Amino acid sequence: MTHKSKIQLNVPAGNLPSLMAAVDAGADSVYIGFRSPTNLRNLPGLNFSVEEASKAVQYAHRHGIRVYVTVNTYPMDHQLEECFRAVDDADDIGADAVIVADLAVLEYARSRHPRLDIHLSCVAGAADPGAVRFYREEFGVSCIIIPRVLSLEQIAALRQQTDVLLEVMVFGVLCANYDGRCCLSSFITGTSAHSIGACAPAEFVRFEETKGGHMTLELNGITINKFVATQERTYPTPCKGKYYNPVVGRRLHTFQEPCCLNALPLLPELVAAGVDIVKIEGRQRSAVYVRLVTSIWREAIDALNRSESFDHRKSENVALESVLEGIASSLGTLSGG
Amino acid sequence: MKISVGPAPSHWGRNKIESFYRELAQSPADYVYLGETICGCRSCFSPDFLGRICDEFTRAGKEVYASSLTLVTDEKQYRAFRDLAQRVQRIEINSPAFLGFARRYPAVTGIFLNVYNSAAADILAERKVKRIVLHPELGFQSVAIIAKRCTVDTEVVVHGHIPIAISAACQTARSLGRNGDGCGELCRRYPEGMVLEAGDRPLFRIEGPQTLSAATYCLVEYLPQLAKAGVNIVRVLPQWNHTGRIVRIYRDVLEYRRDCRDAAEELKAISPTGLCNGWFLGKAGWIYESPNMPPASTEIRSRSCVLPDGRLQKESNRRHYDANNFAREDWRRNLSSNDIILEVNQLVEMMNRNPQFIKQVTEFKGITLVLSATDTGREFTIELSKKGVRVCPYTDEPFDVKIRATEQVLWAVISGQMDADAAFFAGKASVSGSVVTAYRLKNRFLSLLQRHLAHRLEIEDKSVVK
Repeated sequence: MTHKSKIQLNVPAGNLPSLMAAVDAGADSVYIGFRSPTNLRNLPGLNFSVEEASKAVQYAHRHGIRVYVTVNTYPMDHQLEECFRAVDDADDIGADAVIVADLAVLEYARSRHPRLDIHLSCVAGAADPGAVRFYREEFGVSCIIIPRVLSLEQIAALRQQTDVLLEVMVFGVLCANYDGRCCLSSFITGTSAHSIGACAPAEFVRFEETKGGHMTLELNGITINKFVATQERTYPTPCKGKYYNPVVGRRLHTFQEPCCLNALPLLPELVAAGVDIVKIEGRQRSAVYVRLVTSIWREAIDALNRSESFDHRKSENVALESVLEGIASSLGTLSGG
Repeated sequence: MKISVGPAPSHWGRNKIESFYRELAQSPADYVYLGETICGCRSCFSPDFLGRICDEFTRAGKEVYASSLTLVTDEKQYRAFRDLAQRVQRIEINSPAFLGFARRYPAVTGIFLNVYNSAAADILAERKVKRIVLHPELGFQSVAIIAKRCTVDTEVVVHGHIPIAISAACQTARSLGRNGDGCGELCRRYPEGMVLEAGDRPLFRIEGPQTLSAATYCLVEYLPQLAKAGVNIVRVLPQWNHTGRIVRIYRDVLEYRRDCRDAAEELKAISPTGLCNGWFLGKAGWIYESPNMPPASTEIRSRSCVLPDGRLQKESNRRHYDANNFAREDWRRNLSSNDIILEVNQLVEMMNRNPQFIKQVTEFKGITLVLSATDTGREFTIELSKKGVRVCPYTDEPFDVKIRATEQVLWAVISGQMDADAAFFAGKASVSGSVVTAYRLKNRFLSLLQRHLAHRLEIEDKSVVK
């Protein structure tokens, strides 16, 4: 299938200043969430009230930028109403699409809100043509956000089998596990990240400073990491923790080295693979982050559209790395292997 | 209630698998699931092999299901399961890749299909799924609601090392310093996985790309509750040892031939890494509580300092005034033009004159933030109250959050030149106290401050232009 349209840049915003920064720095679309356990960045002080979200949509639309609202938790029965209301609100404020994972919320959006586009959240885990076909045919999703488990080659192969929009995460936090299939945080804390919308919820996190600026990270009273004074730190998520493995006799970053996704060097390949939208992670980050990351990706995409070269190793573009978690950036699974 | 035995979760090799299923054919299990669900690299289940086992079970009067991979990433894996489904004629769908197959074969959906509510279960029922295996993360309350409301049968995992996560990368290979590609099926050497300890506690168990509980999940004492809730099937996950025996224990309890307390004792004795059942009780997964005994000593250790509303109890700022700090009177005299305290103070005084800002700050009811400059040794406090924001040079009062960084970094974060998370990642800033409050300050207060600051600068810019 042929794809001629230009690749779009989808940028996160956790509050109004970040949304304005995203719009001003050249996002094609911005994704946001409501201040409730209806989306997977349900963090203290973050996200939009319905009123703020309405302002956000007005601001973005004035600049010709689309707004997507994430309603991508897996709600339990008692939480369904709140998720349905979030979809209602997204429609009311004039958002362009909802990002959904749960079957009941998908069905609700499809049947009650035909005006809204439905994007399939990466936590639905649709990584192959069979899954894409199912969600497309049964719920009319117009865009699939690909879970962070595929290589570029596999994405290109998927492209050949579907005309649905394909969105790929290209920058930010890299979950170690298959999207929507990780309950490490829930196992430690007893709070379901899938249905509450927060991995390693703040109320369970404790940073304990010890001698010489060393720091111990506890989640629900269980030590999951220790940082040396000069060492880079990570979010308090269990997949970034260090665990003792008696077989190898050492404490290891069992799931993942502390690194983040930065696929900027692969942008031409992503375009060639037929990706429609590239997505930046980080609704929990500040407007500074949003502005910096958006403007560099914008510049890279524009250069590519003009068939000009873009030097991702140039100093200002290396600045991207400075806002990332951990010691190094990674291409994730995109590079294959 | 019927008993099922889930698909073998680990790489056991062909011989073990053969003897395992031979033993299982003699066990009182009603349903058996077969097939590789975890890793596409593993090779012990050829279609012929599975077909043969399937026939044996059918002869033994058991219903057999072919289980799919959880993560399907290529066409070959897709076709392999399509052929297996054709052969076995009943399936367990573990990947959304195969949801469409429910129209062709009697189908059960596995735990990673994430059915968290009864409406989702009904949507699958409309698409011909006949049974849902519920995620063990769902506690009893959710299980009972779904079992009661939905129109399909429900199956609940009651015993074994429960699945917690699955990845595209192989944890076993990683831990042994190897890449998952061309791994030579290293995981075969660790048929029960590798236990991971956190703070001396066995917590997880990694096996190839999956993470399981280190302890054995055990709900034998809650079988009557599950039966009463209308759950149709209970699932035992295959264990390296004793699976047939475990199935018999569950069968005996279900048929009132055995007391569940006594059964729990026996199961405990054959579970070397202990038992867990916290998820079922709505608690952390690793916890084990018996309904017949007082809560175990594994109860959360540091929760004592978490208040019921989720806030941490305020810590006392034990660092009293010392020579490094400026006395209150000296403070203003010692300010230089680029002094951070002066800058912050000017910033908040300016903001305090903005009624809109004051209104927005009132949502932070009495938060005390201490900023501690690591280079100059000075500390000062920002108090947020309904009157607005106040900066004072130091305090002996208890604080909610303390942030430590150089003066330059502190100012960069406050004024919106540096991302707070980035400062933290780089080891340039540390945080202590209530993490909830720290998040609120970062996500809300800082953005409020910066928004008003930006607005003011904009006005100033315009007036300059004029």
